[in-house]
Amino acid sequence: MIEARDLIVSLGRRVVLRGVSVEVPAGKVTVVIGPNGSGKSTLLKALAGELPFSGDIRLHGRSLKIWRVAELAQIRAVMPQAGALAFPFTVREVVRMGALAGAGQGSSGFARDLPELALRRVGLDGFGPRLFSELSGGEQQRVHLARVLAQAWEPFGPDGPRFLLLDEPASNLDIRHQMGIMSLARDYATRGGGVLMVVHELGHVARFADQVIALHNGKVARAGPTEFVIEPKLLSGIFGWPLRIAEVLGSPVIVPVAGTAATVGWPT
Amino acid sequence: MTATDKVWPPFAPGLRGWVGPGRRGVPGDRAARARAALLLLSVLLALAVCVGLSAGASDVSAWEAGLGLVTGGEALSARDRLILFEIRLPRVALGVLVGAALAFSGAVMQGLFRNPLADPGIVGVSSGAALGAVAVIVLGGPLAAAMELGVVALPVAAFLGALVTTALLYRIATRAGRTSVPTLLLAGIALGALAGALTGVMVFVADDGQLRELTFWSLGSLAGATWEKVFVAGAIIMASLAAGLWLARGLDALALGEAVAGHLGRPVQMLKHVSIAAVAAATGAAVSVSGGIGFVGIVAPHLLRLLIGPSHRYLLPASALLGASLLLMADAAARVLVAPAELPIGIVTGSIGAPFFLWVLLRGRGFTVD
Repeated sequence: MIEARDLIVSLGRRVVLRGVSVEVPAGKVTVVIGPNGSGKSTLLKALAGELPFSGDIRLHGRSLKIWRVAELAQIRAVMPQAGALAFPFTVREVVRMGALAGAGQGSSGFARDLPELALRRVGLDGFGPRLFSELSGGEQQRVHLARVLAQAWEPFGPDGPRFLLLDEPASNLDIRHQMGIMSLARDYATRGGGVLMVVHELGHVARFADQVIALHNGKVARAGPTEFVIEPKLLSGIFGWPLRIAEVLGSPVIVPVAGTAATVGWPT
Repeated sequence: MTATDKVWPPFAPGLRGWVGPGRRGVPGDRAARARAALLLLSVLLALAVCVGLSAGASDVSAWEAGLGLVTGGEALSARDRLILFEIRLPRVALGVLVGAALAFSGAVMQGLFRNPLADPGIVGVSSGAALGAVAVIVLGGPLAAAMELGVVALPVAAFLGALVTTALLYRIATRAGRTSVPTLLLAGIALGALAGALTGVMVFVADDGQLRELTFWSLGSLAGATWEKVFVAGAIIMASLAAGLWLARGLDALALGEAVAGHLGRPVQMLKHVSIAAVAAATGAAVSVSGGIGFVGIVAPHLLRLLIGPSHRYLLPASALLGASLLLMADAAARVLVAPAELPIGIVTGSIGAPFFLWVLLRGRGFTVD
């Protein structure tokens, strides 16, 4: 379990998170939603231990400030939104960096195969020998996901459940890979791990999330089980556009109400 | 194979950008190829040592030199033995150390700044080291001589000069965990110019004897090699290279950015501090015994990244080996081209290295990061 109490985070002079309390339990997919600039990425980075904060963050009941970076690397893996890479590494070498930080140390057969297993899991079977810099944007994003997976490959480790913190892992991908990534997260939670992810596509949230944290202006607008948060009034309020929720072929679909920007008060 | 794999099957890769395996490796893993390259580079270095021992105004063949080295020189005349063991051997040993130090420093600095164009010579670190050393020659000479510190004071001052420059550079170019490459290069030019100006002041106040010693700094040379210099510089450079073993995996992770390196469990602050100290020590030691020799730190790591990939575990030792070989060959050329006189080696490395630097720049690999 990752839990945060009264989390306050400032970037420069701007206070981005203003007293946020959240719980990310193992065995569940927790999704953070909210409009641009509401503090989603900042929340994820703070929980990953990347930013100075005031308040309290605990991982497995122990304050984040006490954990050492090497120990944290064994428990949680983090995928930031923009992935940069200097130097011409191959795809396999990139994924292996994740493997080496997690279960893929040593020279066992498993350690050797882990990068390839992780790549297969994100639909990049056989991409190992290619140069990372020569892949498309969506492919690079999935390589980073494979790196994160290789680091926290088993959802359950010696210290308890592991966590994946993913910042918009499915954005910019085609529909097939969006579905693939979302069901991958679902599967990881089902097998006992914890997943915290930022997702923009509300239909995916309604379908795959166990619980949702809705952020608005650096505060939690609402948090709880998916059906409690994914409801038209709240979503319309925080996103500033009237939304309806329909059900098509058994799946929830979030529909923006037709209208011009002017009729809903969006500046034109 | 889980159920999800069937829902979301893998597909066939294209071949664009395919990097072949080493002979026995896993596809995409260049470790086997890198190990083979290390072996070849060791052989190359051994050959370069023989060339370095045989090249020069006096006629000792590579074969005689190599044989003499192994047998202790019994088959050689007294004169040849003197030339070999008291002039050429320390010079070659110094060349190996300096070349290794320069290429290693370049590779570490490039890893730290995540850019293939970072090099102690280009971003002013060598100028800082030279300033430290020149200050000792001009200001601290009598003091150091009185305390019999001469041979140690020089590398220590050069190290301090390099350390201050590197640390300043990193502070200036890095904001909120991101290193800005244009800022780095521009700040390096400014710091290098400042160190150059201060060195100019030293030259201005120097007397004739000191001036002759100072000329040596401006172009770089291995001509002043003594066993004493070899041992002092060697100890410092070997310590830096040893630190490189610890740095390797962290520098790899750093290619993904500082935040991700931290998530991968690397102690990022420590990594940066050790990198800066290792670069400053190796550059300082190299500059203090050989002056300003440029571009070895760019050429060797860049060629090796093309050959064996950027994994620092292999790149760092391979750079040291190739840098040593390149410098020995440049030194041999410097001695042979205008024999019986000799060129400053900086002229040789500069006239090969500067066009190479431009080539790297024009290939568009220089500014692809950030």
